[in-house]
Amino acid sequence: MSGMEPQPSRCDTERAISKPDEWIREALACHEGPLLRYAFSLTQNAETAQDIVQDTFLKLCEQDQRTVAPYLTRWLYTVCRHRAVDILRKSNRTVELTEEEMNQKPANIPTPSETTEQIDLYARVLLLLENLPRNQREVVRLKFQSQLSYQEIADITQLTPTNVGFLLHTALKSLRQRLESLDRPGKSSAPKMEKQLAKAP
Amino acid sequence: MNLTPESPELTAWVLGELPETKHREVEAIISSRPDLQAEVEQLRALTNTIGLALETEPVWKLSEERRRCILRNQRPLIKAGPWSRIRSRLEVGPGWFHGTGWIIGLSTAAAVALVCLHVSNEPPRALQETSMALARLS
Repeated sequence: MSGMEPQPSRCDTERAISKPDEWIREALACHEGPLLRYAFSLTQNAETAQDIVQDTFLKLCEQDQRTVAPYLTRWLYTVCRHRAVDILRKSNRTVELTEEEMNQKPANIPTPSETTEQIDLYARVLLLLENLPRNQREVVRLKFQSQLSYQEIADITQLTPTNVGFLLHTALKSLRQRLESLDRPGKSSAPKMEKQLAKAP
Repeated sequence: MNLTPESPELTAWVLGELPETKHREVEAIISSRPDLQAEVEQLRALTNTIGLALETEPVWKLSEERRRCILRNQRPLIKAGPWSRIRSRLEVGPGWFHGTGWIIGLSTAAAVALVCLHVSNEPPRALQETSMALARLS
């Protein structure tokens, strides 16, 4: 038995040194989508996310390719995060939510009766993910969307790898509980969720 | 090591995040504990589902203007807010209008205007000096 899953390969921009124009173009093609999602998950504003990612890539243009290329993914996420935090601080908007606040928040999660039959499993997972506290949502995206290691996530978020592991563990636990509760309109139907999860390819 | 289905180490093990020695240690414990094996299966199913769910999200892209701006290695002109449309129009305007060009253009125009103003003040003074010199001569 092994817990080691093969990690999907990252973009080649992190390995190869190419012409400056191509490098930026490749980095854009590879990272702009995930970075926009990441910036949006931090700011909850699509236009601000576009600004942040544009600034991030403009900063990348000023960098020496040989210095940044080996750590490109980490570099991009770190700059993107700093910019997002900067903007949030300036606009005095903190979207930090504690677990307790999240439980109190009238989340836009439809009631189980409305959703169970309507929304498929992935949509429900995404919906629940967006309703996690910001720090948990952030590590889940960095881990599962960008395939970063605990250490890399720790470098980006300025947490310790242990903190990252704990946040991720808590997020997964919370997601599971919420998925189960969506499937359980009054009575226990956890096996249903288990069946759906098992069916996922 | 005291492992329970609630231990964060279990998540770290599933995600391949433990150092080699600890990984083997946890693996040995799991293989002898059906409760942990069940938890591991649940975690694998969930992490797999999250990964797949994230893949179903539509791919987001930067706007074409922003991409062009990046590829020209210029500072952004487009910022969120009421001026974004005007700025985006400037962005696609003539070449000299890009980046800080328009600031330089305006500054130059202002400097030229000042010089002209200064020069236009010169004749009266020159006339005054000439008339004074003539007065002295006479």
